[in-house]
Amino acid sequence: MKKSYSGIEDKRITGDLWFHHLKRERSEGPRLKDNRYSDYKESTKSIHAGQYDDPKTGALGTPIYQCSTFYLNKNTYGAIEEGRGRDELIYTRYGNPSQWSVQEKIAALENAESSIVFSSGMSAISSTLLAILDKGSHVVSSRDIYGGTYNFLYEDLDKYGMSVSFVSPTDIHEIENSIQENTKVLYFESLTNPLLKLVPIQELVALGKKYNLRVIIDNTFLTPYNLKALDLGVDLVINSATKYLNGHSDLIAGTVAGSRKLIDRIWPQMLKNGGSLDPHACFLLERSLKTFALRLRTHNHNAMKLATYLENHPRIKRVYYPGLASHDQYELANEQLKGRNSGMVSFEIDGGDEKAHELLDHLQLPKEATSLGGVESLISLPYNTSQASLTKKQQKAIGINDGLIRLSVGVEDIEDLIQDFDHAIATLFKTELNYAKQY
Amino acid sequence: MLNNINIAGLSEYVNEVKETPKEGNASYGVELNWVSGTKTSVKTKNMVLGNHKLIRNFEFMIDEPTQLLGVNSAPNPAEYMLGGLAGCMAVTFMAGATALDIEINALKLEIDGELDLQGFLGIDDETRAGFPKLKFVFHVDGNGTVEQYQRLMERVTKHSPNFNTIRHEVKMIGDIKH
Repeated sequence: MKKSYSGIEDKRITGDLWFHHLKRERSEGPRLKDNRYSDYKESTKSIHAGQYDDPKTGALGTPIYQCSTFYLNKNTYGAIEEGRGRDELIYTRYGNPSQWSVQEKIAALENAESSIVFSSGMSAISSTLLAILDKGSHVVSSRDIYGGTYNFLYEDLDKYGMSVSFVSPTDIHEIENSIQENTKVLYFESLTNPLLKLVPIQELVALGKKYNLRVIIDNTFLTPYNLKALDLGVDLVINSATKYLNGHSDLIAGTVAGSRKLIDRIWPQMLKNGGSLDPHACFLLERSLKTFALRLRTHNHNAMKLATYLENHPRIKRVYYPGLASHDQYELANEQLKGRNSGMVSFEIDGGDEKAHELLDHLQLPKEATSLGGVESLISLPYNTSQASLTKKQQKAIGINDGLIRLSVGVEDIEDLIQDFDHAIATLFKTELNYAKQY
Repeated sequence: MLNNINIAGLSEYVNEVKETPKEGNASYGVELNWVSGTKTSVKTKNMVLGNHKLIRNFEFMIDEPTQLLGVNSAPNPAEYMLGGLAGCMAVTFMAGATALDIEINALKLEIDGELDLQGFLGIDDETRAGFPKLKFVFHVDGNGTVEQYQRLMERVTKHSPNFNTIRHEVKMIGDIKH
């Protein structure tokens, strides 16, 4: 039901109307047509959900609606007056069919009622938090949180009369002990950067229920393919779509998904902050998502293989990967991720940061660049990139040791990737190749 | 939006509460601390709406006029009570007007009452300590008719929570902790 007064227009004229007569209920979307593909699996959803074929021309695939504004009509004026502008096409910052199409696909993948795409992951994060928090609110978040999020929480919340406590994301007791009278939100990443720690989501959700809080999860490192955060009871799930969702290292975008009720609260915040996603970027993202499940399957598979290879290499001191039995939270990973352990691998090499830099010089395939989730392998040293704002001592405190390398394992052929690492490590330490011995 | 009130949002909330009555449960509270003399300070407690906490980070001072032993630095308790009553009646009126498609240019609400302090002072046990009567007047400038405004005022008396808290008997449960 779209309009509040459907069927009760007469009551409005006679004055015999009160709030309980109003008809509009929340619905999923907004959407152009009902094409959620709820009962289908990941690849099918990735391909078909949200796609809007142009009925006029019969063109297959969602057109790029590269326009800033739309013709107004009686219905849109009515929608503006009634406050249901999110369900109408009025102006691209408010909504655009290209946005709706990709939002519908993301909502389908997240098992969400609704979602919004933003012009960056940080835009999604800042708009979501500002929309959900009240004046004077407190947030409990992770000491290991992504640097951009950390800066927003640490530097900007204060300006709005809000505050934050940073705790260990793996210690549920420390999280509970940090909850204050004015705590409103528990904000964590499902898999942390760069040490790939897991937050115990079900326990976090239980804390949310116990203290009447909202639980928000940044699922960028795992994506809805590896973890359906909303199915576990989380209120809102955020992604930097720049990473795995888009997967081609060629656009910047962010997403938030959840109940229509909460997403409708974030939407006006986005209107105020800006940060809507351009229609062309929406097209790229929607097209890229068609191979989402296909890509993620290969990312996961390759990462497990490469992590195993690295762990068995004598020059590698330690490997961080949730799929390895050596991971500190291996049991939780098994339970929470059910074998879908992500495409991210971190490892420490003999010889510290100096040797780590040299290794990157010797590698032929992984590109030395920040970011992650692209089809190509991306590799970087966290001390100098994502955690660069921390001092050496602070880095050590959260476990970022000398020689730590973060690898986003791409979808290249795994044999080629392993061979590349094997050659690079052998060249670096002037040793024999290791690969042939194991595989 | 008409009168800057989101009727679609109100409609969605109404229907949510019809489906899940718990979402209509709103807990309120205040914490008052005596400051000095007749001066007190009030903090609003966090609300819980449905299953979720709302942070209510507000504070205000209360005082009495000098003639009633205060230093006249803030409104007094009776004025806050009438202000809270008026605020609740006004928002109910405005939301109702919006639902009826009435555009309001200006709304002013006056509430007046007189109480006999003999009750407070204990001079006369027969005298009620509170207001025996309150008069209120809505001054409305909008495109509605007098009949519509009259109807709205009736709706306010029926649906405004603060109005009904004052008009009807409220179970008051007191305790001392020391």
